[in-house]
Amino acid sequence: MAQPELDQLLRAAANGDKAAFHAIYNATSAKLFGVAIRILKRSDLAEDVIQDAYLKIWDAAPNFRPELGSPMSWMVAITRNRAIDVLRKRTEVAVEDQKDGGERADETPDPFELTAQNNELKALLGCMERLNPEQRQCLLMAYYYGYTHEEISERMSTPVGTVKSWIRRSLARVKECLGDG
Amino acid sequence: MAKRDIDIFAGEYALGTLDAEERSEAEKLKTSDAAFAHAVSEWEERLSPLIKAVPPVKPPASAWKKIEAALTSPVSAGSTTLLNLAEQLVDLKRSLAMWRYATMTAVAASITLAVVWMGGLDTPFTQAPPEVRYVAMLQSDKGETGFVITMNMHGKQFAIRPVSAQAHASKSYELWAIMKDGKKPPMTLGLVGTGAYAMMDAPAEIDYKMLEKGVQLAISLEPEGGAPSGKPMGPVMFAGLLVKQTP
Repeated sequence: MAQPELDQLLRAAANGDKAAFHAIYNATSAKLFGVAIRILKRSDLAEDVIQDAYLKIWDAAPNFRPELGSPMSWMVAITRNRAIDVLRKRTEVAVEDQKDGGERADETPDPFELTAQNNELKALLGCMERLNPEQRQCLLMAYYYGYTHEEISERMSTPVGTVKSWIRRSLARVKECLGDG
Repeated sequence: MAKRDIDIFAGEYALGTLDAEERSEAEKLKTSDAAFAHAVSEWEERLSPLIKAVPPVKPPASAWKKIEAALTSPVSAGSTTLLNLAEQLVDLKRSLAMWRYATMTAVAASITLAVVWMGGLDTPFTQAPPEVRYVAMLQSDKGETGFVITMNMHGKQFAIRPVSAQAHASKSYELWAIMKDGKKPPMTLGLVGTGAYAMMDAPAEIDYKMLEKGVQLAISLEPEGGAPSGKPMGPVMFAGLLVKQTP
């Protein structure tokens, strides 16, 4: 869905228009569910997360600030935050042993494979390409799975301190490269 | 924490690498520190293109049903907000009563304004007739007049005269126009101060026809700088109908 349309629907939803909110759900729920299931690796948990996320989107719609970002990235952030909070509470339960979240859930999405790229993605990938491959992989694992520094360190067989400083340095370099630094 | 470290902390939060304890620290900071919350939003926006690589997965149909069942109105019940007021305006009887009242008070308003003109203040209202003027007395529910507003359709300007409205710390008064047919959401006309007589330009959307159909003006109390969502959220402090003052 084009962003101006999503903008308008969100404004209508902020005024209590449930039909507009349903249209937002239809246009965005597969993406948000995909985001949640990748982080939680279980469809029942991901379903709870998107329910919470959409209720928060409904309640917070009047406070959405279009000047700070697009409606889609705002909704994605709400969903990711909720999913990561659930993930953190469940670390003691071996979430990964119970996964039924689709066969690709284990494979880190590779944004560099995408052919039809928009300008924002091109700019971000251009900046990420300047990082070394391990550092880039850390950022992608953190973003797509919500892994902590410790979890990334285990998966990359790299000391936690190194992972932390890679991530901090990578964030700073990406920001500078995008011209926001 | 240094400014740069705060920004990186916001980045780590948005990226998702913080552990449970650090996340709750970041979430607390997000509610107490506007600069940090802003930095988080910037990071979320900056990283969001990566989402394009996540394949969509259709959620089960039960998800929407549960969401729909839990939806409540975003306007909290019981408070008089402009949105409620806009609905009330459809009530014709009430509107008619207010029209009659406003017409009477309009005479008083014109006297006030006449004094202003004789005082030599430069207002576009002194420009060449014939012109069409509208006036509204904006009153509180206790009947106190907070502001008198006149509108000059020739210059498409408002004149705002604060009468008894008191300033509130860290809050702003915001002026809204509500079409009497109730078909459009309230339109902001901008922030109004309590100090001096002021002139404001009317939005281009406001035209003569609209005023003929009836426009209610209302002033709500919003966070400093105005309602952040562009919609009235705060309580209505003063309201009144805009009525034609000239023949």
